[in-house]
Amino acid sequence: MKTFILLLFTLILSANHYVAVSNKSIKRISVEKLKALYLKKSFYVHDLKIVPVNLAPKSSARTSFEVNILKMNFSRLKTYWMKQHYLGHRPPISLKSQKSVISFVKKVDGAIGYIEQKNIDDDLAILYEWED
Amino acid sequence: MLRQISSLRNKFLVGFVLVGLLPFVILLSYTIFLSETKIVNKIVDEQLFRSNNVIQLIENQMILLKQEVAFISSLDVMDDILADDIDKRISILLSKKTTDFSIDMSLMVLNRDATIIASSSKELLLQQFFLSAALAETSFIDNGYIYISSKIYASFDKTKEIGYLVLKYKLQNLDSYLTHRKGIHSYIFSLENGVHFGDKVELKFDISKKKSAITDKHVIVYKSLKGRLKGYYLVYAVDKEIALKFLYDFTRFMMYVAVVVFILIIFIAVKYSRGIVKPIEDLTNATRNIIRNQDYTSTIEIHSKDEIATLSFAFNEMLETTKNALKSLEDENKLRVQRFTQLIEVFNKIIQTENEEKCISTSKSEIQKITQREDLHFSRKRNQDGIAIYVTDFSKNEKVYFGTISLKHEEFEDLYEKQFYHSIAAMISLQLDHIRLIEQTKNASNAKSTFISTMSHELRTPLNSIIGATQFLLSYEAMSDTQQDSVATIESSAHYLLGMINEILDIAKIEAGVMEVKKESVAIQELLQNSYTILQPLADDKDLALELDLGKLSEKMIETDGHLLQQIVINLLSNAIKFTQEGSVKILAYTQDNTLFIKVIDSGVGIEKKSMQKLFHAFSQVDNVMQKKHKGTGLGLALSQKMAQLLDGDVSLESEGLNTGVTATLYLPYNNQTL
Repeated sequence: MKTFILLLFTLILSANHYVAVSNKSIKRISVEKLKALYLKKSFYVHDLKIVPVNLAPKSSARTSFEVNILKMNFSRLKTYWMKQHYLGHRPPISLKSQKSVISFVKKVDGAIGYIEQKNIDDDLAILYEWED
Repeated sequence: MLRQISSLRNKFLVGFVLVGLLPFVILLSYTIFLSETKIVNKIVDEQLFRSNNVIQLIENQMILLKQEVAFISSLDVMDDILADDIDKRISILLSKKTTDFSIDMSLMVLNRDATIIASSSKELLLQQFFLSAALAETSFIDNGYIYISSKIYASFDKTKEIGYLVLKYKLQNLDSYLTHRKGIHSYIFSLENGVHFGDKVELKFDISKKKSAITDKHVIVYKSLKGRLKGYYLVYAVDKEIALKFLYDFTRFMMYVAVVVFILIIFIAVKYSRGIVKPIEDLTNATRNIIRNQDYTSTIEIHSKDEIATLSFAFNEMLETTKNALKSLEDENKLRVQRFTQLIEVFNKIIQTENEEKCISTSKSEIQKITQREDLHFSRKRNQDGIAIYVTDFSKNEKVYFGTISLKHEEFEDLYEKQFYHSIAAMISLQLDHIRLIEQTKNASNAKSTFISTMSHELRTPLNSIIGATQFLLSYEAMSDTQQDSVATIESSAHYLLGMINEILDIAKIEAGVMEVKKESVAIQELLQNSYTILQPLADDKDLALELDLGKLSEKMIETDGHLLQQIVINLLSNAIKFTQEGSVKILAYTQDNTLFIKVIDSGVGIEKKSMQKLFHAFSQVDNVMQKKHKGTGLGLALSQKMAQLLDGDVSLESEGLNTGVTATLYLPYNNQTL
């Protein structure tokens, strides 16, 4: 019981909020737009070239992003990028940590990334939010 | 001689040494001069090849590093620059790469502000990279490091510079490409900034366009590196001592061998040359001995069988021949001496013969004895073959044929034999002349003696008759004064003539050797007194003072011919009285050193010196004013001198000139020991 309660509590606590962010150069965008940008089907938002930034594969945020935003599992994405590779498209760059993503996004105009909501700060602009 | 032997030995020595050492010397010269050059050239080539390889390796390393830098800089992970490498992904990558290279280098990533945000070495992190020049160029050298840099572009936007990748490479790393071995020095240096790494040797050489330099100790090869490292020189220096060690060792070995071989050659040469020269020396010594001792019987011992032995053999043969020749010469010489003695004996015997027949027969038998030719004979016929003998006809003073010496059956063919017979013939002819001359002389002497005795008899007899007759007339016939004067003249003339004949006879006797000297003990004082007494009247007639001085006459008896002596004294005295008109005539007699001196000193007319010589010639008188007053034959002085000479003495005259008187001196050596 006690264990169950603790597990449940943990689950509640870990019911994570994620946000897609960029620096202030970009306003909010739709989830479709976000998906298109990450699948490199779209490149620009208001003439600004977008640099989508992934997190390391298998990380919880990236898994959540792929499931919730891209609606594709890891193996499907792999097949997708395999095909795209032959067309000359490459997947978004990936950074290891959310900290890096934050730093990167802040410095590079047009860069967008996703991080847990708790890591957000004032310099970042929230483009989209979701929950697991 | 000695010098020649030694020179011969030296020649051998030099020959041996030349033949033995020449190849050695050539080989040595080759190894020393040619091999060294070749080896040095080879070293240069090798080191050049090695240098090229090293340079190529360095070049490759540089290219590799550049490629690596380019590669790393193009990696997507570089995008992390934009996140300031918070995840340390770049740093990890750089560390990994650095480790992979396992050389002293560091990789660093700079952001656009030249802050080092990622590096293989943590201490550099977040430092500012000040070498902005290194970022402007792909490679840049500073302070012993080469910086290879590359701009980093964002993977999502290739136009977007996001930072720099810099590789800091320590040039010291190149040391690993250099060769470090004993004897080989290699290093890299730059003239511009004094960088030097590799071996810590400073070789001083001139860097020009040449690729190599050769110093006393090193063979040096150098080459400039390529690319950014241009101006850096790679130097390879090889210690000559070590590189040429083998050559030097070989040369040294050759030297030792040469010394050994030289000694061996000298030893062998000395031994052999002695062996060759020794028999020659023996030969020389033997020759010397033979010359010194005149011993031609000695020979040289022959021990070997070579050319020297042949020479010695020939020498022995020559000695034998010489010996024989000498022997035969000696024999012949003996024979000749014998012949010569015989000949002298022959001549002796011939000389002793007293008449022609005996001379001829003796000669013939003696010659036969010598020559042992029985067929030799003598003939007086003319026109015969043989050797003619001529004799002198003294009356005509010419040579006349006498006879011929010839052989019965053959002629004198041998020239020497002919000469021999000619000389014998000349000898015989001489002896014949001699015999003839003796006979002729004897005849002449006999004739003269006969003439003189005849003369003394034939002339004196009529004169004595004349004198006797006139004296009879003067004494016993009554004649007128005129007649008496005439008869007296006849008588005195006859006396004069008789005196003259006596004197001529005396001279003739002396010259013919008929005058006999009868030596006896003479009382000289008495003899002089007698002479004085005899001539006193003559001096009185002319009122001359005649003195006799016998004060110094110590000897009283003298062994001589008294008759002759008295005649000489009277002659000299009468001459003095004859040629003195007034004054005195002095007789001085004395003895001195077994010699009797009798001086007749007058104060008469004297004699000129130039006339002195004539006086002793028969029939000569000195012309002077008194001449007509003096009667005389002129024989007196000559006769006196001849008589004195018969008695082993002489007569001499002294005069200071005309009117100074004359001193006539008779000296007479005597020997009283027989008394």
